[in-house]
Amino acid sequence: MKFSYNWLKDYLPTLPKPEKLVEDLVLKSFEVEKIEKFGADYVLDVKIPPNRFSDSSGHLGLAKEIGAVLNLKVKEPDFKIKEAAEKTSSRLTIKINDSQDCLRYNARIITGVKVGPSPKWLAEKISSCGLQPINNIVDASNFVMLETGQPLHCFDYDKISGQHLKPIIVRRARKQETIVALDEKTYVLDPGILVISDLQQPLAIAGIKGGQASGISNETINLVLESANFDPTTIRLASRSLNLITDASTRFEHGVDPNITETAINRLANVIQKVAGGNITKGIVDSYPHKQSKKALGFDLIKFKEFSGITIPANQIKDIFKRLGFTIAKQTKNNLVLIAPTGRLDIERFEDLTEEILRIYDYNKVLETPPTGILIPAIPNEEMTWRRQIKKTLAALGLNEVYNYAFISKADLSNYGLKPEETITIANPISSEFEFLRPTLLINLLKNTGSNFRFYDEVKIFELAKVFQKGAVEPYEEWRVAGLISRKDKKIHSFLELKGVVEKMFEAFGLWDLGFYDLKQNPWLLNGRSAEIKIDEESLGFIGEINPTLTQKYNDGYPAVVFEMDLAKIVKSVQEELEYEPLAKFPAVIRDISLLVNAETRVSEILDIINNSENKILRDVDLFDTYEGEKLGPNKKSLSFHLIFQSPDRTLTTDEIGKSLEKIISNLKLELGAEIR
Amino acid sequence: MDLKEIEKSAIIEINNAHDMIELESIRVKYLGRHGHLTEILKSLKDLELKERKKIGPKANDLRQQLEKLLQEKRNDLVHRAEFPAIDITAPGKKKEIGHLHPISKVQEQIEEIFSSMGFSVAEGPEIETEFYNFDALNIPANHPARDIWDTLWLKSQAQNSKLKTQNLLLRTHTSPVQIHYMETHQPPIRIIAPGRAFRYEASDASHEFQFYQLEGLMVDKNISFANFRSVTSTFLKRIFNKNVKVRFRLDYFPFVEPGAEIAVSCPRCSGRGCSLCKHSGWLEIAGAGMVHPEVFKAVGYNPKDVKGFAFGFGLDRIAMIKYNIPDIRLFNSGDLRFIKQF
Repeated sequence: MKFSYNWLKDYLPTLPKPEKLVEDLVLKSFEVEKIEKFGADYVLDVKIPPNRFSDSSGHLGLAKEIGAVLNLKVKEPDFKIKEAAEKTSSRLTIKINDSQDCLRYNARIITGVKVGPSPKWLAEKISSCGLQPINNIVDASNFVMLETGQPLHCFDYDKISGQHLKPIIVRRARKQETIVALDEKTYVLDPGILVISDLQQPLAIAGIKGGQASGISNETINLVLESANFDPTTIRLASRSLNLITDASTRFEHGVDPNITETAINRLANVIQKVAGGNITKGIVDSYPHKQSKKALGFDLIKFKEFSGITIPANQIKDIFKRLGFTIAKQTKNNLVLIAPTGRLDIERFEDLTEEILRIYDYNKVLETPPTGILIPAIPNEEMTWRRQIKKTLAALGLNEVYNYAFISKADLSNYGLKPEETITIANPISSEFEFLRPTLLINLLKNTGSNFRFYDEVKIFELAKVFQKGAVEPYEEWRVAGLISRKDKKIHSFLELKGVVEKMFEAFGLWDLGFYDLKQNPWLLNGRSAEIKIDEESLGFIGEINPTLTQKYNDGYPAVVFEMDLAKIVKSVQEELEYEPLAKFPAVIRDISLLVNAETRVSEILDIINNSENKILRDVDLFDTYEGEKLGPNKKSLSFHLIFQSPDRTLTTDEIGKSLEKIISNLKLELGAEIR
Repeated sequence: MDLKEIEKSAIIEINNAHDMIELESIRVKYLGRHGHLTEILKSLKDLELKERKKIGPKANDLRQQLEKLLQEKRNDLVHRAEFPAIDITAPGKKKEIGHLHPISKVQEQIEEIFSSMGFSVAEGPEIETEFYNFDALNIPANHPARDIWDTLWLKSQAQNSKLKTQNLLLRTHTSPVQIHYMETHQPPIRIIAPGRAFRYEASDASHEFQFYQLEGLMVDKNISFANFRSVTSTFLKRIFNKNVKVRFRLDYFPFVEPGAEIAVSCPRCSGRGCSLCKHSGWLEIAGAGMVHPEVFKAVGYNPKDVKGFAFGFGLDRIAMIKYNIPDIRLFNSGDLRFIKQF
């Protein structure tokens, strides 16, 4: 919100230079976002927090705040108005339909004004705050709003329907009722919106904008001055539904002190008389059904000492409250009874009062004291610890960690065959690129390869993040881990490399029995080059080469292999701690066999036959060489295995190993037609 | 040659010998039957007793020394044949390892610091209801304070336990974790909650619509503003360095009262003013304050019985300051030129 430095100085003659002022203000009061030179003046852009609009959205209020911070005396504007004999109440009546909508309505009449351009001083003052000068009446209303924080409005008295005694009604708009506002636009209203109306039609959208029909023109002679207090929520909702945010609506939706309407309307009458002449009728028509009384608040000095952790002498506390405009109604040894300035709608309780004392005293002067009390040891978050373990293991295995947006586009959905109605949709997306929440990490990981191939020939990445899915009842989110390897060199197959990464990761956590099973139903992956990853019966996720129809769209068709797994399931399966196995006491004997088999024979088939042939003394089987070549004949391959024989309780004899090997070989020949080389 | 000359030249020659033959000829030259040192040893018997006592031991020492050197050199020459020298100045062969994201790194450091101060790590959902993201944090519906958080709303809705339909959103801060945690735990509480948050906001070098925060909460019977200052300052001095100055100023957040913004003196220019701190000397780090009584009420605590403080800051901002990263959008870029620097 813009404030004129010179204007503030009118109330604070000893105001320090702008830079110095801002330094103190920022520390103990409000943030100042900008200081700009404006002719001979400076404009301060002050960030008034939502809870302080009620007292600080006008120059006088801000001056009081500054006065409290800098301990300066505020010189309030001094004015008197000269009233005519005719009573306002003989020309105007006010009717508030619902006192919840309108806490207070003040009106005055000025007759015989001369509408014209504002004098220089007035035009300059409102321009410095970013408002356009219009005419002396409108400018005067804006000036008083900028001074007091009270939004004001002027109607052309002669445009209001009725004879000598004219009624002004504060009511809800009717369905489909319309008004042409001062911006010349037609607004269609509804009962959620409050209007100021005469007997026939709305004169203004209450607290938001005036109507054109009753507005001030060059021909206007007689004025109705409005200074009212409307319900903040009603104004906010109306302003949102009309998409119309004005200086008045902004102030009203934050709450305005209902006690300043009177001062503000008198000040407005005073300024108008000064710049446009005219006669002010006698008295204010004041409808104030539920008068807000000043609330007294107790302030317990011992409680303050405990809460703040410091001792500030009672006199100093009292002094700070007085500087801030509080009245000390009563005081005992350990207690103060305080009455806050009426504009301070934010002061409701002990904590609010404490903030006032501490900020003026200076937060930084509160001596730092480490907390005492029972030392509770930090409880490690198991799932997060595992997530970190997984990250570190994948990095150690050569994958780089990326963070991606949680969003995907409509184009992504259709490329991956996902349906919008089955995907969580953002109601107000940043852009169409970020319209849906991703149900899989794969999509954005593949995008990463495309962008990185400009600089690298090989991309090895992983991500741990949440994915989002539409559940049966409501959306749910789950942690996933996904990794991807993609290379420009199409001759290098990355599947087994990535599978090795997955296996090694689980081995690092003590899990050796990961299962890989054919995956046929995943349209994102290539049949015959994809697998479901399982531990026992639990499916953890998938690994596979991404379908070329997708890679062509996202990374120029370079092959990419990806895995994606459910993190909670991984954590569940690795949570069983590593268990110690007794060290072998008796030596292992290694025998190698090389098999010539049909090319389509799978390693898992051979391993099954070997393991079923010998389940007592065979400890492990390792594939160490695979060979395919013309020498072997068409459609053949050679596989070589280490067979590791070992017993926990004795040294094995050559004879028993020989017998076991024989049985294995004969089963391989029998079941696979394998040749032993 | 006298003993000194023999010592000097023999040692140089042994060291420079290239093979066994050369080494043997050196041995013969000095220790052979007519070697220089042998000659001296032989001549000892012709010397005066006094002279002999002076030279004798020195000559014998030298002989032993040369024999030892010869033996070492022999061993060396034998090994050298079997184990040829390696150019130890050639570059090492490196195994490619991956890099962790800078935010993961910063997060771990921060968690370790807080863990040493007794803070556990908590988490919460990224899809939230209005209740957890706003209402429970004393940010009522239709209140202008809500405008501080521009929100990304979901099209879906949720049924809460009271069978009321609630609007769903992507959490705009990690503060809802405070509510979830207090609803399910009793004081004393010391937690931090790292996580992603989202805002409906145009992105530029210092703003992102998806960003990373860390929330902290400490609640007990007697927690003071002085404690709040101590814990947050201690943390900031540990994550940056012990010489940074910490500045607290008034700020407004509906879920704390008194509310504060915490800044540190710019670690890059030590507060003198540079481009990082926009020449102010200060970097705003955290929003914080004493937990508002309405928040305690919302989670079912009696505000009379407990006090506490809460704070929240951007993990991305801390990473940007620590690693001198100029653009917040790099974090979500997936760009390996960026990731591989960490």
